[in-house]
Amino acid sequence: MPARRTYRSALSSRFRRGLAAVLWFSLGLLLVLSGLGAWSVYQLDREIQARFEGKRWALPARVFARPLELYVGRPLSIELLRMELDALNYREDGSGPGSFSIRGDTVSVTTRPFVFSDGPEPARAVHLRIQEGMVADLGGQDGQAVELMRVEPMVIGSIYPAHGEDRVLVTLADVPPGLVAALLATEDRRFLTHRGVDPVGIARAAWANLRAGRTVQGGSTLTQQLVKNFYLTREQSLRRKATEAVMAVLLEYRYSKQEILEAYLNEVFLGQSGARAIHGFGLAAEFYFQRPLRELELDQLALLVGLARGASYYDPRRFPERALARRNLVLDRMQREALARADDVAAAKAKPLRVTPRMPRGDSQFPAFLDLVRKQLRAEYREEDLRTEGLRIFTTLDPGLQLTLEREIVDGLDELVRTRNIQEPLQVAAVLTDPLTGEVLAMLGDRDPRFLGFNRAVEAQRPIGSLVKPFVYLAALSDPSRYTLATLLDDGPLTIDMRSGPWSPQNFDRQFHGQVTAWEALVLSYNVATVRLSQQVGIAQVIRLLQTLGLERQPAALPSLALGALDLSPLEVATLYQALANGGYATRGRAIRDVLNADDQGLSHYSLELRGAVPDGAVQVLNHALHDTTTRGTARQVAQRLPGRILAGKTGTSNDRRDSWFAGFDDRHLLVVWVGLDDNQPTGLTGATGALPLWIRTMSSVPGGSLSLGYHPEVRITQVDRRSGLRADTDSCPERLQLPFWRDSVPRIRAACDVDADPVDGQGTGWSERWFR
Amino acid sequence: MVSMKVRPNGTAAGAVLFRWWPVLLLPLFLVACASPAPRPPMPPQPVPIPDPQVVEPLPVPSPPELEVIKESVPPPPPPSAPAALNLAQQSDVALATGDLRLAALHLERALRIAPRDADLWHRLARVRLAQREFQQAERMAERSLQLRPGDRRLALENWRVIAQAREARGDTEGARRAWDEVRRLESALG
Repeated sequence: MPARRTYRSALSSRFRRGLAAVLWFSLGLLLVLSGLGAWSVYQLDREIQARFEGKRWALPARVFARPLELYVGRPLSIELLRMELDALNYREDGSGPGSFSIRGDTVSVTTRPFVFSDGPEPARAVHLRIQEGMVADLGGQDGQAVELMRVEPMVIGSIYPAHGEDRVLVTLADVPPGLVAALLATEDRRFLTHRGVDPVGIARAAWANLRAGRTVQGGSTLTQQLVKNFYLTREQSLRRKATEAVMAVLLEYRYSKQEILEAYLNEVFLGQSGARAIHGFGLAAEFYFQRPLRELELDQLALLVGLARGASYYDPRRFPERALARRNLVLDRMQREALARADDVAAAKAKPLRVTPRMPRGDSQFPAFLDLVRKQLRAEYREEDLRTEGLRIFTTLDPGLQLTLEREIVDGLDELVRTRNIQEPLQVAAVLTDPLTGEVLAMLGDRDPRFLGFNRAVEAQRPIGSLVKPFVYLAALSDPSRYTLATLLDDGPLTIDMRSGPWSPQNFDRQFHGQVTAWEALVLSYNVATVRLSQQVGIAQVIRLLQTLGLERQPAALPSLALGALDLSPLEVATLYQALANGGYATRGRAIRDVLNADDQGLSHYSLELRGAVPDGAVQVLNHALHDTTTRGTARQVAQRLPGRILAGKTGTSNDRRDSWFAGFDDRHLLVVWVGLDDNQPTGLTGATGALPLWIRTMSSVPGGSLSLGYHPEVRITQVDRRSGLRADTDSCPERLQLPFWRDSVPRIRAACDVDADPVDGQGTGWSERWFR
Repeated sequence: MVSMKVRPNGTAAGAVLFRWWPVLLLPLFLVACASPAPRPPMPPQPVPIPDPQVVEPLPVPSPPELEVIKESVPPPPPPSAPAALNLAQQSDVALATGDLRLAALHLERALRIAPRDADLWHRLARVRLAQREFQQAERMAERSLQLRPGDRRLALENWRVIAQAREARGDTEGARRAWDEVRRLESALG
């Protein structure tokens, strides 16, 4: 048969060989392809595990303010407390954790739990009564007195990974059940049953899209969405889709539903703020509502879930109507899937969006302080670790005092500019510390407190003028056998030969005052007498003293140093003055208390440290004069504006009125203020007319006390004749001063005016011999 | 800036225990010290403060009193804030378990509340001594002395810390002087 013949001929040996070759080749190809496929799957599996087992995310460091400590006797005003609670975004007249109410002088607060470096602090509901500037009563709701508690600290900034992804990790246990319900109802109804890919879901989505003629539904499971965000690029291709599906199945094979869900909750992109990307529901809760996730209610949870599909399209701050519709859609789906009760859904739908109008700043509300924190951290931590290890950094910032400082300094500066004809832009920097512990409480580095840039409080180095004088006098007073406040100094014309030529210091009033007591020369800030004193004491001695008190540089030993030819930052000035407010002990200046890792283990503790010391007797004597400066010296406005408080301080003005300074303190606060122009032009302001009014404004709003200048075992207070500095036991001399004397330095000789009036009890058995025998 | 690295506790516990057994006695001692020390019987008197209203002119009005010298007397120590006392007790608990780090954290927190409390400075000085931070131990004991000059019982304990800190730092001469002070106070106190 021809056909059979044809068939036979077709099956010629040649052809058979060819077919076999093709078959073998196909088989081989199939094997190779399966091998390659298996290899790819193996590779994908490894990739999945590598990312999922290790550290899943680069976590930014979180920086916290100091926690508000509450106890009976704590200085506090209702105003400061309200500022602090507002800053923490506590709800006024709300209920539950993170709420407070104020009735007259009584405040009820419900705090949130928090873990500190020394252990956990539970959530508490307390009442406190504030009277006379302090906490008078503190008790729990059961009526029991509370001795001591802390409110959780506010986050004042974060240090982000370079790619700008920011997140606050949550565990499934932290997540309100409503969130999971809303998420499953909206994004993946069969999440709990499918194996990574949901054919039913895909078919349904395809049908819906076909009917609508455009994409209205996605068929991706949560697992696929996680895979897409976590491992893949945004590229839209069939190949990527296939990889995504394979990886989703692998992920489900390797890990539990709980683990996958938790990863999704933390990974999903939910918003953008500048370069900062908001990832995960933990941070989104803070970003949109400024509350922890676990405190959100159904409507708020539904809003967040709605954002998962398109955070910029449904941005509730930019497109509130869209966001509201989306939220209500989520709520409807929950009801349809029987994941929420109808009345709950109705109540939630009736609510407005409730998103906080202002976006919380990503960098920091307090950029100057945060800048200082970063500088101190960089000495010890790698930038990479700060950005990725999820460190928790506990700082010393007092938010209430920070906001007070900002308000008073900014308002004060505006007033200065208004009332005096000053070249703009006038700039300012200020540092507020607790001199007894060395902690920096508040800081301002620019006239605009929110400006992130040149931080004058730390970086601007300007001549400090007369701010250096107290240290010249302290160097002298440290040797009471030679110098007391009653020692006469020559304030007559003076010329010193220097390498650059002769130098003749002048007084501010362009006059010479002849023989004056050291007290008067300091309180009235006489230049010439101070230069002479520094020459007697030795400039090198003054520099040594400054270094003992924390100066970390080596200034040139020039005679003009005694008048403040020394460029320092406000922070450096604060460091030096701290010892004066702290019994002569320099303290380590600190902006950070603790650094904890993501598991709450302590990495660094910046401990309270006492550094070099000068004799406190000499400091006590000096502080008397610095107090007198605020009552009748160059800063006498202080006593006028803040009557009844014992404060101490010193004005500083640099040449041609380019820099205006004031540094001063009460018993718990040290405040340094600088005012000037960035281009170093004269402002026409002295320390007393520029920085001092700002200092006074701020200190009047700081709940503080008075310096204790009373008792010291080695200091005696006595009256002297103002002209001669000699003892004046009676009131017959024209002017008497009441001065403190350290150790055996009370003047033994009575002034002529005193002896003339009372010759009987004259020389010989002076009281000082009786005291100091 | 140098920071105190957190020391891991419990390493070579036996050796630590052997070396620092006195620390375990600290709580006992501190409890013993908790009762107020006897004060010198001097009545408090107002300390002269220049009239804050006087602004101009410079001359100071003479005070009306005829006596030449205002005797200054030590003011009574401020009552310890219950909150600070509470923390001091918590630090005792931490010491009893040998957790020097936690004890120091509680005392630092207490000192933020009451930074002029001589007793708290003394306690922290002892913890620093146990932590082998000898210079800080010495300075904190000195600060404690400075803050409550009239209290000889507290002074005695502070001088003990100073003497031990100086010894540990190799300052033999300084330690000798401190021990002299300890003996002087011991005999004065009987």
